[in-house]
Amino acid sequence: MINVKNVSKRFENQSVLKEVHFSIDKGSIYGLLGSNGAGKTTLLKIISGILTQDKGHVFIDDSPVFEQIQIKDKVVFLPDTLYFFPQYTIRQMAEFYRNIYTQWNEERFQRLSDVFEIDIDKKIHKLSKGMQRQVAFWLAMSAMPEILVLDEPLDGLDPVMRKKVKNLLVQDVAEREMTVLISSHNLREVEDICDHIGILHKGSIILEKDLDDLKSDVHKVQVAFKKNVPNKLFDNVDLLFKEERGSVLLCIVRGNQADVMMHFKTFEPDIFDILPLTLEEIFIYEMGGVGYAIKNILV
Amino acid sequence: MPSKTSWFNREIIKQSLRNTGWLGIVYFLGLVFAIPLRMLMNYTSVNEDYYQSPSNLFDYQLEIQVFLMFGIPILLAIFLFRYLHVKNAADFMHSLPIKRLNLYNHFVSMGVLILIVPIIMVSIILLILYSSLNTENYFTLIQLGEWVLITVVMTVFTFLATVFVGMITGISAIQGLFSFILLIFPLGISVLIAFNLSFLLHGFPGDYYLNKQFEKYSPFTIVDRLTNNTMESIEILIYFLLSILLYIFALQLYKLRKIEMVSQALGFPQLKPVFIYGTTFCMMLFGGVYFGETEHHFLWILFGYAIGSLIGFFVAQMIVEKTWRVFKNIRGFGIYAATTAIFFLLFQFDITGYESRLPEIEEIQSFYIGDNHYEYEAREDDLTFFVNKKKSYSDPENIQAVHDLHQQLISEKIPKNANEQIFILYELKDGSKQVREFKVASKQSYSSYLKPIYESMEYKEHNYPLLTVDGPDVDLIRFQPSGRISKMLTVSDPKEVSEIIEVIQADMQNQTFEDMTTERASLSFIEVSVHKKMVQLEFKPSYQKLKDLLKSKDMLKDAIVTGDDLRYAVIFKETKVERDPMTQEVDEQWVDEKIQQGDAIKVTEKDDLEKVLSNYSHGDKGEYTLALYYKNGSYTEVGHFTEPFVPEFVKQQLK
Repeated sequence: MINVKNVSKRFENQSVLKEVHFSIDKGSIYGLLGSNGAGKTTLLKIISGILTQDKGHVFIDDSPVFEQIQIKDKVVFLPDTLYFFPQYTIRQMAEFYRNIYTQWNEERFQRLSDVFEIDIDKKIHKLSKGMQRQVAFWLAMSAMPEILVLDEPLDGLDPVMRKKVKNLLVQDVAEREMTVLISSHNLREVEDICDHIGILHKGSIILEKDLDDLKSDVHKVQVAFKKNVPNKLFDNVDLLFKEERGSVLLCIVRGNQADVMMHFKTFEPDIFDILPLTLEEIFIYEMGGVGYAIKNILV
Repeated sequence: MPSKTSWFNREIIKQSLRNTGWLGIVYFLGLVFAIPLRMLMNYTSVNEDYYQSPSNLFDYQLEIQVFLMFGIPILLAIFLFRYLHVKNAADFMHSLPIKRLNLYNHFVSMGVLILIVPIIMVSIILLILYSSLNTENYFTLIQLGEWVLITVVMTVFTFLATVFVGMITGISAIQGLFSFILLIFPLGISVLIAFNLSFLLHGFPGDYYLNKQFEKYSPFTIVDRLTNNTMESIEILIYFLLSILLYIFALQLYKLRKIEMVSQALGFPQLKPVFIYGTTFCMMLFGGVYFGETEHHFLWILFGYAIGSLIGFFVAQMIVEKTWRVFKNIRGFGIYAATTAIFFLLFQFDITGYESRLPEIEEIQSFYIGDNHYEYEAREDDLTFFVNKKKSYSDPENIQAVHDLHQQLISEKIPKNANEQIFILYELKDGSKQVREFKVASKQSYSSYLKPIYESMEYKEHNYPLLTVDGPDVDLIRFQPSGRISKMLTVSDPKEVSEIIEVIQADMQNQTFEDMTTERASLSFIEVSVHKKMVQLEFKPSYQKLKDLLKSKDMLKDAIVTGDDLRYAVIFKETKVERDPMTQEVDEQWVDEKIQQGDAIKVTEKDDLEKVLSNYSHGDKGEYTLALYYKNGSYTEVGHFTEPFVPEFVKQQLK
């Protein structure tokens, strides 16, 4: 669906994106995580066809995006700072969208007014920031995009509205295989809806994972031996982390659960325990040395 | 639904109309106020004659019209393309499934529409006025057509120029400023370069270019041509073609433009050095002109270059970097300064050969020589004055003389106190022209070169149009004596007129170089009317034949100031005549003192008085100064004698 191939981008002398490479399948919700200044917004704008990359390619349905109106017609971009025409009411803005996006669904627009409960003839600029964001979602969802690109979308929404919006997204993904690309600096905010996660750090994707794989792939193992720890205990094991707590050895290991169990059992430990990890823990252990930025993402 | 993605998008039109439609309304109201309303006010005015009838539609409140003609399109372009300069708006507009070409065409056509509709509406109002009221006296339908055409072309041109600038910059305020600069730039840079070349190149005719060639280089200079009906159709066509070019260039820039350059002074980083060094260069030239024109000294010009380029360099940096702290970038300035210094050195050594370029005598078809280019370019269709038909000289001897003079001028440096100038224009046999203008301390020092030219017939025919007039064509001759005196001589008898013309022509032909360049005051001012046109000339003291003829007819006493018109004259051996500080009249007490001291003589003899009258020059600056006391009136005229015209009796009595 979306293919980003070796995309690089500089703003004058400053390199913002370096060889970014990833792809998103149709009908998935992809979470793009990164600290401030990591290049998330730039990447999203390139994918939406607003900016052009200096190097590399972006394909949507095997077509470039930039200046391709039939592709951009399927993509709606919701920026972190919203824009509406000055003095426009919701109705006028909806009229504009209806005229611009060929897939606009008027029925849906009317139905969603029940969800958002905002007077359609109010001037958008007089609404609060949170309400403006709801209007943006309302318009975006009514445009029936095949791809929805959201930059920090949940900022400024109250928990109830957050839930509603997430439900709407998930519903569209389920019903009509909408693809969602969502950026955030907060893992917890998006972990419940994303099925894929990519971490952008200083302009490069340093980690890209299917969340289901990730959760079943990394394990916390606790073992204890009465005698000394066997020398070859960690041979042929993808060890991410290890810590000794008295006689108990705590380690984080990547691999198939059955294989990991088999491996440790062969050394006949006195205590053996295998536990699942939270997403946050997985990231921290996976990232190992990459440093503080990642912790910020995960908080 | 293909219609939605077609070239026309109703909602974009609606949005831009909501955003900028008010400017169209302002333009309409402004024009209504400026023209039809004003016309009605004139129409209903009781004393109709009080208003001079305007020459065309631009003559109605021209200031308002010009203000609107440039102000509205600039504002319109800024507002319509504001979305390029606001980050959120730029992201939003470019995330929509509309091509840039399409967006651009929507906004440009919207802008053109907002400009044209008010003009058309006002012209309809004018048409209604034209047919319903008796307004034929106010304008013709052709004038209305011209007004519509010129106004539309100029506003659309200004609009597109501002759009073009908008594509280059990322800040709306800079867009406004730069578009103003762009519109004035071709004129400004030409003037600056011409001024500076006349400092740097000995003989460069700066004034020739400044006054003649450049006046059409900026749309702002159309102002005075609008009311004179002197705007040529080729000029309008050029603005029309430039508009098309600007449309195309702006579109290409828009396609290349990076949206992230929002709020950058320059939207294309490649332009940064162009802008910085361009500004540095222009400011350097400006500094040179400022100090060069005020101080006329080479060191001051160099100072002007240094200061101007420094200011230009740092101001440009401040604009581009949007910060005050640019002074660390001095290295770039160093490179610039070094490069320019080399260029100046090359100029000093006349690397282009401009200064030493002297056409071969065989190449010269003809030439013109004078103080400046004005007379060379005087229009032949002048309605009031009889104009010289002869524009240039081609006598081989004269060509040789001007060639020698030119050679001499090339070999000299520019003098410190350059008060006069010599303008030379060659028309070469290959059809080209070579123009030079030299500043000189005094033309007298080149008399040996100028004498043969001045005394040649072709030169005289050019400088004395009367020489080409036939006596029978003259209707009237009028002599107005110089000095504060009310008498006057008018001759209209055809026979007498012919006689007089004949002797004047003879006197003119006999004039020597010295007679022609003398400072001696003329005896009277002569107006000759030839078939309703006028020739003006001076009765020079050297016109002996004219004097004799008038004397024989007993007309001389009415034609010039004579000894009988004066009470007396006082001649001082002083370089300055003291005056009363309040009234600026001659200080009589001082005069009496001088006479008593023997430093002045009082002349009362008629013969002596007439010697004074035919030899003095105006003003007091010579070795011998004088004051003339007229019989009627209290006014005293001050003059002086210069060698060799100091009368003998003066020399004897005031040693």
